[in-house]
Amino acid sequence: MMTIFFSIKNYFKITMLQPLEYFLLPGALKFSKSPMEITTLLGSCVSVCLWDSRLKQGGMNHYMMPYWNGSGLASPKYGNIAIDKLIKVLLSNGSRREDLVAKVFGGAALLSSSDCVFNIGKRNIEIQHRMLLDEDIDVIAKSLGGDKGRKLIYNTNTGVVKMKFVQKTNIT
Amino acid sequence: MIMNGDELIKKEKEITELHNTINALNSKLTESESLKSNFISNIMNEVYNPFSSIISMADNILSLNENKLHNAIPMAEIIYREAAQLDFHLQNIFVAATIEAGLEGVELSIANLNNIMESVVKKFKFDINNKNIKIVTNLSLDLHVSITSDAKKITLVLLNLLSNSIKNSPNNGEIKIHFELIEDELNIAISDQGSGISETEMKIIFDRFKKIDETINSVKGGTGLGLSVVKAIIEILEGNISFSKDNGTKVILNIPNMENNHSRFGFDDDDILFDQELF
Repeated sequence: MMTIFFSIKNYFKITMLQPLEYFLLPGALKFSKSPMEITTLLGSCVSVCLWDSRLKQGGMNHYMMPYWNGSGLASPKYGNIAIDKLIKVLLSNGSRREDLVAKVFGGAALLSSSDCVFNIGKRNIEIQHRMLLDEDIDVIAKSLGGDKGRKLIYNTNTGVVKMKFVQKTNIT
Repeated sequence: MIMNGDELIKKEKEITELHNTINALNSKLTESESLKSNFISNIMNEVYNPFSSIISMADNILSLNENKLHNAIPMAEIIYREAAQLDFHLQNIFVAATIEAGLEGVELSIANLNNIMESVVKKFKFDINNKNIKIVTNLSLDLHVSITSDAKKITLVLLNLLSNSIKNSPNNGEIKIHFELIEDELNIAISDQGSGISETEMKIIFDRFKKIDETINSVKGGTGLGLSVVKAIIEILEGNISFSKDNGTKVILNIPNMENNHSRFGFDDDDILFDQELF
């Protein structure tokens, strides 16, 4: 029954040219040329939504810590890697630097977690600020800090980000 | 802005700390770059050697006379062993590259640990036989363990950990693999009778391209990617990994059951964005 329901739902989505949906996990990165709605949940993590206003394409990262310290894999779990990779992915897909704009979210200081001690949220906010400034990419919208988690839905075609605050459950 | 003496001392201390951190980071990154160069030479050995063996063994089989076809069996065994090694190293390299590109997701399925263990042990059966290693596990026909997680990723984690244990085990040694499902978490403990990992080595085991035995005469091989891949996968699966020295090395994995975690990987239509804001 559920399968039939989902098939019908998908059929309507395809016929109505709905954007594809994608759930972005912490430490991952997603880019799409075709319209896509990328969803993610943020706590002390930060997401940079990069959008090309000319080609109407975009990508989003979700990093958990500010810097890669050389230990383990150089994955987009770290801000300096995640932001650099996101910019490179867009540039290698035909975007021009001057057409790129960014929207940034997250970096909450969630209580009852070790975040408070190390202030990961604050450091995650700092790294995106510095790197986007260095890369000369304008930040046209942001919702950073505070003590609540965030749920984001980013449309890579329109560049619009829907956001709502969420209570902390199991978000990073 | 005028600062008093105490504030100046505090700022100076902060600057010194920052300076030390940057220096430490810099040397770590320089080391990481040089390890990357070593990786190329390691990988040449790990890829070329199995390929050469496979090609020459296949060539030998092709030139066998019809009445000596029974000689093909040991050669086919070598081909299987070398191809399995090659497959294992390539999987690690590709998964590491996908994780570094941020493209590795979670494919949820029912991971049957009995089947996974069977396939993992089969991959190393020749090494296990060569060293006469005994694999002891609590899984049996009566004890089936399954968990909702990413079966492919768990398989690669176990391949890496078992490969390390086999390499480090003495001949005629024993490797114990214990599975336990407690509430919503799968605990796996793998212990071998090797020389164990020292405190100093413990700090570098997850570094990519880093091998504990990097001496030129090392016969243990490997790309130096294994444990960094294992750690990254375990983090993606929202689990934990820890090591301890216990008459050898003991690795403990905690992998959560993701059965009740579907909402994190899917989309809930009832989730109305009641206080949504548009940016």
